[in-house]
Amino acid sequence: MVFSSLLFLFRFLPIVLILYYVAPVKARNIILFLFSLFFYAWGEPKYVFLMLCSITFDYFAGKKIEKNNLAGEKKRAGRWLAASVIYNLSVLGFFKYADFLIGSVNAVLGTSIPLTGIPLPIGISFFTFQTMSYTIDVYRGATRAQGSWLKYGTYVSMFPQLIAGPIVQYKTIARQLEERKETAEDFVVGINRFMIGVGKKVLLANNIGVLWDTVSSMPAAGLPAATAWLGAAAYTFQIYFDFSGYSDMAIGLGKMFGFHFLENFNYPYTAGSITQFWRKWHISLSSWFREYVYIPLGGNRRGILKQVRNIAVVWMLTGIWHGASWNFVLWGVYYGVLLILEKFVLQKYLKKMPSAVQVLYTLILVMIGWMLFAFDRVGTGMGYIGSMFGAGGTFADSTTVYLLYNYAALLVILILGVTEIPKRAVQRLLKKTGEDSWACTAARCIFYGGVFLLSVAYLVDASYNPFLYFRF
Amino acid sequence: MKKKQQWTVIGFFLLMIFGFTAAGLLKPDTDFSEKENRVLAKMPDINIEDILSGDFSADYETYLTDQFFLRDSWIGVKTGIERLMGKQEINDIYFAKDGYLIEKHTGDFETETARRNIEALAAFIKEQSEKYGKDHVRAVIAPNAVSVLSDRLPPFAVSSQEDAYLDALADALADESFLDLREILGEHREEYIYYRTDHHWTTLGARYAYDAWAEDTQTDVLGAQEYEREILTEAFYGTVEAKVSAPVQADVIERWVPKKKTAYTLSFNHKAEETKDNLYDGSYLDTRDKYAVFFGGNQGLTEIKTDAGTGRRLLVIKDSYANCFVPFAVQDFDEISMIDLRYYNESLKEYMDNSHFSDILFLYNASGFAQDNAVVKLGN
Repeated sequence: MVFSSLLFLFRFLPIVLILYYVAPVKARNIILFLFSLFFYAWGEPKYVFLMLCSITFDYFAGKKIEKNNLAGEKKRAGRWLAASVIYNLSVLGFFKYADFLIGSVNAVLGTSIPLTGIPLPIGISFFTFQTMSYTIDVYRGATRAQGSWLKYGTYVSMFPQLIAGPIVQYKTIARQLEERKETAEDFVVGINRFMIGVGKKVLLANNIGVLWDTVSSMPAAGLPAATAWLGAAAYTFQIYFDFSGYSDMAIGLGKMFGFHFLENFNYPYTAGSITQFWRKWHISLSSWFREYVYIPLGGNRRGILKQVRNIAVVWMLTGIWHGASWNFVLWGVYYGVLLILEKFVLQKYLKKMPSAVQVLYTLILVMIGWMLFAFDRVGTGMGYIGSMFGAGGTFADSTTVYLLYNYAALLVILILGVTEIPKRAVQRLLKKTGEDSWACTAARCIFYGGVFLLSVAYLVDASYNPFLYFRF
Repeated sequence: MKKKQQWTVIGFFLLMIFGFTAAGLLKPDTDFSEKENRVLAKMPDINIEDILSGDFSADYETYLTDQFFLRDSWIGVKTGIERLMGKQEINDIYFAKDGYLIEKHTGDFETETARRNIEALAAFIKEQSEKYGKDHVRAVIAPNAVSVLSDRLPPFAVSSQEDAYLDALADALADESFLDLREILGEHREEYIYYRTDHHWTTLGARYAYDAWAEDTQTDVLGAQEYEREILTEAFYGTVEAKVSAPVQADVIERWVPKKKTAYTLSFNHKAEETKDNLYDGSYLDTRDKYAVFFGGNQGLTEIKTDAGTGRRLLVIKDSYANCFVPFAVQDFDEISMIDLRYYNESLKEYMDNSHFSDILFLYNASGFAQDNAVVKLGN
């Protein structure tokens, strides 16, 4: 199930809200847990058992690790941790990467080992990372082991963050699982975030996605340069509003149920360098890799060579985490190289530039990166990037002009939307009218109502499919 | 925010979510959407097998969106907002000049089916030309509005691959058996030859095509001045409008009635007992699908016998573009058979062998032809 669907908005959400708030506080985790299982099982009922296995295994591993830790048996605790990490990585490896490995082996060795054809369990990359953060943190003593299977299951399966993050580390919500206070204030903040997220996803991301679909369906190698950049911009906007919209919805829904998740995006397209960009984009993933891979490998404390190695390892893994395909590996390597370059060479020059130049430099590199990311076939992606730099032979044609004026208004909204300008403007207005005023409350309702109605219109339209040739 | 205001916002949000949920639950299910011309999804059966395979989930979501309350109005809201944002096309429909909604036909002409259909048609026409004579066999693939009315498209909009496709057709049927209507319709592009809200040509457009075909095959036909034009409805909203629900001017459907009447009877699908003497089924004028007034829509086989007394017998293999075209032929042929391959499952060859046609016409619209999987039945 996805949030931006009529099913979620008008069946799942009302039911879970009613039952959650009608139920006594003690029963609320059970309700969340059961509904989360249902939410997960909706699309692929069988894989819910895989998730239950992961929950159970890591729940017991966590207990064993803590018990051995307390008994001073660091080695035995370490063995349980290893078991947990191996289990999680094997599950992820098998379900996500088996066919990729087989395909690559076949391509290199000329063999023809049959592919498994196993469909990818939804959200597996997210929940395996969450369960690993739990056992690792228990081992490190950063958090206590969870004594209740139910509460641990609620944490892993919690539907707001289950299928597309943010990657919530157990220690950040451990206390909220035990005792949390749902307040009207949080609920209002939650509504705000949720509606902003819905608007970002349904009204902005999906719409600019149409432009990207149009451009990417043309032959990549022969595109006029301006069309190629327009397409790249469309994808750049689409992926941001889609993903950050989803995170907004997740954070907002969390708030409605009394949970406080950490932020996942912080205006990444206003970053002045690639280094900064990755502190602002999918923050929960980069901090996961920093905390559980980069720093354990030694981080930057063991000399330049080791640091370069560590950055390289982290970014290979980041790339492959995004998908089982070579273009994602390449995309990870691309960022690894850029980050190393910035760290040791570019940073000092970049700092002297005006901030507009810094942002432009970052954006151009990020857009090129997204084109590596967008095409499964590395060759097509390279061809597309070639077109961005004139390999198509022309600068623009009438299609370029047509697409540009069709999407001009939307592009202006999107450009504003990636900056802090709208937020600041709203805050200034709120200050002027006073947050407590009824005018402000009315304005909120009008905004939520507008986003809501328009989103419903788009969601209904997405299914609208007039049938031309019909007889009976 | 004070408590009161917090609760106001929460109340407003819950009202939206629960209000829409209730509206959806209270609305009785609709079986058929006139506007979309299709059966809407029903509540799927609940059984373990479908639930485990995920089929139930998919079907239930289709059911939910299909049955959503005020379905058509939501589409209109979306169209309105996109027009406001300056978009010139919505759901692959151009908002063209003079109130025309013109289908883009993106991708229709670049498929394997599109390519294969050219081959199938070329082979068929070649065989029939040898049998019936060059002057008696024609393939007429009518261009769509996007090609003929290209000067009405929004600035800088590229008309589709249709012209390239028609060129390819002309090449494949190079022995003068292909009648290219682009020029003749192009000359009349300022006239009302395509519906503004539908994917068909108008009766006037069909008449220009009829004259061009008659001239090309050197057939004497009753001249246009021998007809009186009669309006059937002025409130026709067609299939293209259905895709966008936009506020546009309605279309006018007309028929051309010969001043001197030729008597005829027609029967559908070999059912002699349902023989009728009217080409027009007026009951469709009360429905949304008003274009079906011609012959009551598409039939697998339509056989017309007339007392025109010309000694000519015509076979039309066709799609719905022929439905407003064939009424002209009634005055000029003794027998006319229309075969719609999409609904005709007998052997075409056998049927042709058992009849004694003098003329063969293959009449389709370009995008319909390119997409039609039934064209291969020409070999049956």
